[in-house]
Amino acid sequence: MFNFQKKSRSVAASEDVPVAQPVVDHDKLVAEAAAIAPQVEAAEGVAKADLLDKRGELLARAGEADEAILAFEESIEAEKRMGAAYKGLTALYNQKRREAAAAKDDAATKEWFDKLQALMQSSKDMLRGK
Amino acid sequence: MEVLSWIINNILTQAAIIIGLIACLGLALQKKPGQEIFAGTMKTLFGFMILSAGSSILQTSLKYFGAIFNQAFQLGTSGGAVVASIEGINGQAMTDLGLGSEIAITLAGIFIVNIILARVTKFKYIFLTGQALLWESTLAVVFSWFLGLRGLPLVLLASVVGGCFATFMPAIAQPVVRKITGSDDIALGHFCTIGYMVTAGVAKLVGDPKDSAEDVKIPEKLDFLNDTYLAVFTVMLPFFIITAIIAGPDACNAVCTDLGVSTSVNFVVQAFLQCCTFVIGLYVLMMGVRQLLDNIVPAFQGISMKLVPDSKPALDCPVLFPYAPNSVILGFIFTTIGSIIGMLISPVSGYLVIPGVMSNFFAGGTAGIFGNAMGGKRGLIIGCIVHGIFIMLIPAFLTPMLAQIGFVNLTCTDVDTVFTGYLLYGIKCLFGL
Repeated sequence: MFNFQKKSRSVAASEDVPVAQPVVDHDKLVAEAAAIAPQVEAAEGVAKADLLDKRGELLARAGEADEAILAFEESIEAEKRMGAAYKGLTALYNQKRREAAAAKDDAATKEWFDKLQALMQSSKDMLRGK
Repeated sequence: MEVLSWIINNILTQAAIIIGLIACLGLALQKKPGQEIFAGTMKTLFGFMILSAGSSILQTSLKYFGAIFNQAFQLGTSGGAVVASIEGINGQAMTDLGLGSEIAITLAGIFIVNIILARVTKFKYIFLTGQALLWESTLAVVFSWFLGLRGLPLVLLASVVGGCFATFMPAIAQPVVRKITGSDDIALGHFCTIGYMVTAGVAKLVGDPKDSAEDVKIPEKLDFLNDTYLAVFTVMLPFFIITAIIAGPDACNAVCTDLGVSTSVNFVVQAFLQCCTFVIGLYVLMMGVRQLLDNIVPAFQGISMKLVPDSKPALDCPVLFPYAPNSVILGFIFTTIGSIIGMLISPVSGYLVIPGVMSNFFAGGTAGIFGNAMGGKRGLIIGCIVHGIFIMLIPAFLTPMLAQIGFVNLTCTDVDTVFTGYLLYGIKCLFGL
């Protein structure tokens, strides 16, 4: 009755069934992201944010977390709105937090967790018109 | 022995000091410098005292409102109006019921049980929303106390029950959270999960997930909620004024005399002032809660993430807002509609339950996200109306027990904490305690 090590059906289903992972062409994605950079400099406002979101998504898919974070943060600075940047940063901040916790880097774990908290506060404030 | 007796009677029975010592322990475990430990300990202690002051202010206006409501609408000898405010419940429990120490120790206990369960089971969820844990700790302690438990047995039972809710509620919500976020990396740490799953279930039955609410053009924000306390005031004022007018000047002045409140002011103006007092009480109470948690929660968050490095953080509901912002706004609107319907039905419990605005925003908004994920626009609308009724009626039926325990004109909001109460009440009935 209290065999907590026994997998529940739903957990087992999500863990044992192999999920096909899409093949990621790292170099192609990084090249596409690099091609967007000059366009970003020339753009403003919503257009700039759109380009930065696209750049951030490409870099995140390529596994370049730090560069992706910079792109998404710049997007929010250009145009504060819900969407790809917030979603991207939520996933990336959590990824960095997890990596720091695994590396037993307490300061970095706290830093990334605090960024996640600040992001949540920002989304809450935005919806309330603050 | 005399020294020990002195310590027990003068320190360990003082909730403010116990809470300060818990913060001190948390800061020391993080190896903070001495000055920070001292500052954090004292600020936490001050936070509890601010909370107490806020609760006291809130109670005065709640007693006034409850009394004029009973004069205006006779809901039966043991009925009346209650305001849905988990913050108020926490304030009264920590001060008037004298359970401050137990609630603070159980808060730490819930963290410990959560960490143990995350380490030994497949459910690697660490609940990181501090305020929600404080509400859960409050209900777990209150109903464990209602069972007749005291001291260590009370804290142990409340910690185990609370820790189980903290671990398993995120797990219950996770299938839908995965659908919303497209990943399994983060979880939801908000004690309204049962309501969200009810919304998701209804939405799945009636809706079409392909017809998303995110494709609709609606206002991007709710400016009305820009200032929390102004929003609460705007909602509560009609209740105070209308109730006072129906009760009449004589009844209102009699209530004021009983409560030691001035009768030199016109009775409608007095109702207005009491509404302002309610809002100020809530403001001061929440200031105290934030200060109290400011040093305790980060300490335990850091320790939790360190001890369970492969954990999934269960975060506050705004973590989901960016994934479906339209659904948040629509969820708030339709949950509010549902909660008004629920309010009108609630007198069947013997009490009229007045909904909480901020609870409707956060819980309603998140329910909207769940509803849209499972059933699109139609699922969201119908699911959230059902959700609104659900989050009013479930606390309504707990209210008689809360009144019996000693809560004045208040009931809970976050439904998972209400079910904590039901679970413990069920244990009480089962074992004849």
